[in-house]
Amino acid sequence: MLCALTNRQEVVEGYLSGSLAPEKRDSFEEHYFGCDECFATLQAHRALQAELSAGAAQIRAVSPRKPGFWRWSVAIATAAIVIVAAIGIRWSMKRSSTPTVPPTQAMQANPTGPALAELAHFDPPPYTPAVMRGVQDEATRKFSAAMKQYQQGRYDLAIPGLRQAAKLNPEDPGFIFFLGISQLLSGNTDEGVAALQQCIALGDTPYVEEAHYYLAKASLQKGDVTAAEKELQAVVQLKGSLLSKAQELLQVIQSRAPVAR
Amino acid sequence: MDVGSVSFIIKNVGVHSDDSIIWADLVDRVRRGDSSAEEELSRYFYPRIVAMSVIRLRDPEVAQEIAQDVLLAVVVALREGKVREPEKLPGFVSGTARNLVNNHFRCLRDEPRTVELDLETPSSHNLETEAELAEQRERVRAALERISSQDRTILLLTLVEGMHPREIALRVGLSLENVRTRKMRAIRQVTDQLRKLSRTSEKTPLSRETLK
Repeated sequence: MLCALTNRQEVVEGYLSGSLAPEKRDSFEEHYFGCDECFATLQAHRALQAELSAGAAQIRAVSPRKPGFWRWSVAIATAAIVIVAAIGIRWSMKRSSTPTVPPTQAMQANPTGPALAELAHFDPPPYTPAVMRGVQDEATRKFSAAMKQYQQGRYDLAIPGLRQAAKLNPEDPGFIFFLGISQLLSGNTDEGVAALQQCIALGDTPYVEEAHYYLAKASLQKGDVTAAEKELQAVVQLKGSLLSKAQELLQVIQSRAPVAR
Repeated sequence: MDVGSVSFIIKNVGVHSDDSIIWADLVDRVRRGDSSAEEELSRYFYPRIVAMSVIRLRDPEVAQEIAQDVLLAVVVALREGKVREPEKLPGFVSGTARNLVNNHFRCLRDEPRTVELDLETPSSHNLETEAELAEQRERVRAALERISSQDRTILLLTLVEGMHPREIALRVGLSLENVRTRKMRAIRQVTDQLRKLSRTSEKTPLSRETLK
């Protein structure tokens, strides 16, 4: 059937929410009883509504904050930069607090059970822009612009800039690390894994421990417990700041029933 | 949702001459006792009746019972040649369904009961197997994971909480236009995925291909 219904999406939404006037509701029912296109749209909306409803708690947990929150965040972050800059710790300048966001794929009902999905949750590594004196190179400018999106939780929008920055300077582990994290947080698990592996391949950098740790999380997202264990063991061997977290996670994974793993 | 301001073209939309021929042909075949025509009619309209009944009644079990009653009433009417305008069969079926749903509501007035909204299995009756249902869910999840967390929030507020884009804009700190654009884009991404599935799995018996 050739359907020329305008505003199909709005009509379907109104129909599902019960906000259509009775005569319009009846008309739409009569219409989709004979229209494959509109019925397919309706069913798709219903399926989407069901899935959103099932994952509502997790979606609300990562719900974007109002602008006011971000104004305060920026103020706090700025204060943190000044303090950290005074101390002069170069690498630690790149991190500060950002909101808690679980990975997008954590909402997936993994066949190995919800516990695995829970273990795959992670807080996005916080980032605070470094105070740079002098003229920034293009890669750094791209990175800084992209990380503004990252700080606001728009990980998908951060990806293009991070990708460009990493291309311009493929030796910078920070660029590649945050590209990997943004990919993971945008649901692009495979791309995220590839970037984190690239970060690890750069050798002994300040990001190697975290890259292993978040690779473990990505593996859990994919349901690959063995790969997750391998990455966590790498974190343990590094004996860094994530040692205890990695050990705890390893313990939880290894205590899971074999059938669940 | 404020749909009063948007153009609402439903009547006479999609009423294609080919479709009128298809419906008239089907009605004629049922009237002549063609059992395969009855089966085609059931397979085509059953998911639609169930969808409509679930949306109105919020009770999937009752919706299925009503769908059976509607199909029975329609087939009996067609066999007895009681359908005056065979080319408007979808309208006849939806009208019959509406009447039975309304009858059910009238009965409920005498015997009020609590009904649960089952959002877990919204369109299972449109799919033939559990595998297809599982695939549909997987596609929805995958599509939802591909969009940003902000877009997921906008969809949740729209489709589950029934909020107006204006309210959502205030909630998430975006402009009204931005919310509308993001919502439409996100829904399109997800529905495109699902429609690909429904096109491959739903063997609509009343398509032109099967009736020619």
